[in-house]
Amino acid sequence: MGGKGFRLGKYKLIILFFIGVLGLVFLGRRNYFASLALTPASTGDVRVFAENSTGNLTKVELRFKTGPENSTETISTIAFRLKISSDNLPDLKVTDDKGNEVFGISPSQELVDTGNWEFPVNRFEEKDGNLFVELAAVYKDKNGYKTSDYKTLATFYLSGVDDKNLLDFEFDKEMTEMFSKRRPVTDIWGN
Amino acid sequence: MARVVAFNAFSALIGVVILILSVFAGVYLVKQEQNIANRAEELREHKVNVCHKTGSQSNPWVQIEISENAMNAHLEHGDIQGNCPGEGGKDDENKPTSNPTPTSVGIGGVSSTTVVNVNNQTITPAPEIEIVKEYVYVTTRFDFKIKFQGINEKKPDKIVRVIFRKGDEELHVYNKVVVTSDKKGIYRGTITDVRPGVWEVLIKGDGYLQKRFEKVNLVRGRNTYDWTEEELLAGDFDLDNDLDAKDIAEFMSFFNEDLNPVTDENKIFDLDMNGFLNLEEMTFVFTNLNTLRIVGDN
Repeated sequence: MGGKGFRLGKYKLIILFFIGVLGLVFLGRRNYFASLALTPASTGDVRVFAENSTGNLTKVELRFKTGPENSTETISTIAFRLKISSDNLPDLKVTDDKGNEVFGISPSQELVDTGNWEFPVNRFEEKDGNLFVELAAVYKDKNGYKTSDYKTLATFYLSGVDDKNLLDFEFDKEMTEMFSKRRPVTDIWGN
Repeated sequence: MARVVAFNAFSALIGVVILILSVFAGVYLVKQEQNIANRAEELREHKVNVCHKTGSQSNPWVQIEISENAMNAHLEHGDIQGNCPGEGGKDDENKPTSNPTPTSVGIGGVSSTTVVNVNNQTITPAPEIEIVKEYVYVTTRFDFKIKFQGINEKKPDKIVRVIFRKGDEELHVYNKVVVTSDKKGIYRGTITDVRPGVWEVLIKGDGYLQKRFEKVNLVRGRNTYDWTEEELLAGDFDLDNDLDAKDIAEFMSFFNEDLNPVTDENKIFDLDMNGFLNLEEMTFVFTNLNTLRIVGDN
């Protein structure tokens, strides 16, 4: 009965103060998470597929999707810069499927046929001992574009490749982007 | 016992009230501090150059920077708006200002020894005046004509940034130069207090890449430059002086309806200034984008 228990009384103000501070901190964090929820997530992907083709050519196909089935983001613009390294670079040539030298790669006919895609950049160059391929694609429809399945973006062929396994493909991360249609405009390429 | 319980509850209530009042007081003080900081920034920006008459035999003129509000008092004293003349009345092409204030303006090419003057006063086109010979011009008048890609008829006024640069020695920045269009879409602007000399001039408008014009020789009196043969290229919508996929994506993010009226938020994209955003305006941008990134002059 006469024991010394913890006397809360004189510590009440201090405890209340800290409760108030913690409340403000959690309120701030809640707003932060809310803002994160509004920002498009990094769900987009662009991949390179290479395979042997007829006439001693290597077919290179770029495919993309804008997100998984349950969280597909709508996009407006894709741009990529792909570096191709090879021991056989001096003999490497960008061609069509018949081995004819070309000046640009071929956007997907499926996309072209929609009439809604524009390709303002379509070029390649040799630089620093590597081959660089650049493409920019803009979806002009007001609703934007989305796909949860990989779609072909563009295709090109390489001649002078002894073994496709000796080709090394690497995206320039600074110049490879996939932008959301909605604001804030965000690069959703997940790599 | 009941009295103790009541007292404890009362003290807890007082504590909560004190806490709430403290939070409100803190927010109020932060806001006041921000208002003071904003006002200081505002006052700091509204500075103009004057050539101050000291009344001294040995050093009669000195270059100073004053608040815009004090301009009239200085002019009544005999000061001259703009930059000081050279000694003995000669052109002071290579004379640095008396009070150099090197600052970074985020433009590039500025070293720690560069003399930099920044003018944030809105400069409207000066009216045409007949030169009367009894007046002695101690400053220059610089008239220029430029053309924006995609504009070929009379359109509303625009505001451009004009920079005069002399290597790493001097940098004069005019952030709010108003340019006015004629019926062919050629824009004219005037700046009246530039130091004589040979300059590199850079001009930038919102939504356009910066353009550089070299070997601009300004002499005392009137100077006229016609740069309409080299259009300012459209497409820098995110104001980083380059054109890339991000700029295009920024435009497309506002293109959500068949008819997209211009608002304060998206007016930078209205290249043809017709009050609406439409895909035809992107035609110039697509033409300009021949690689993944086009960088404006700097």
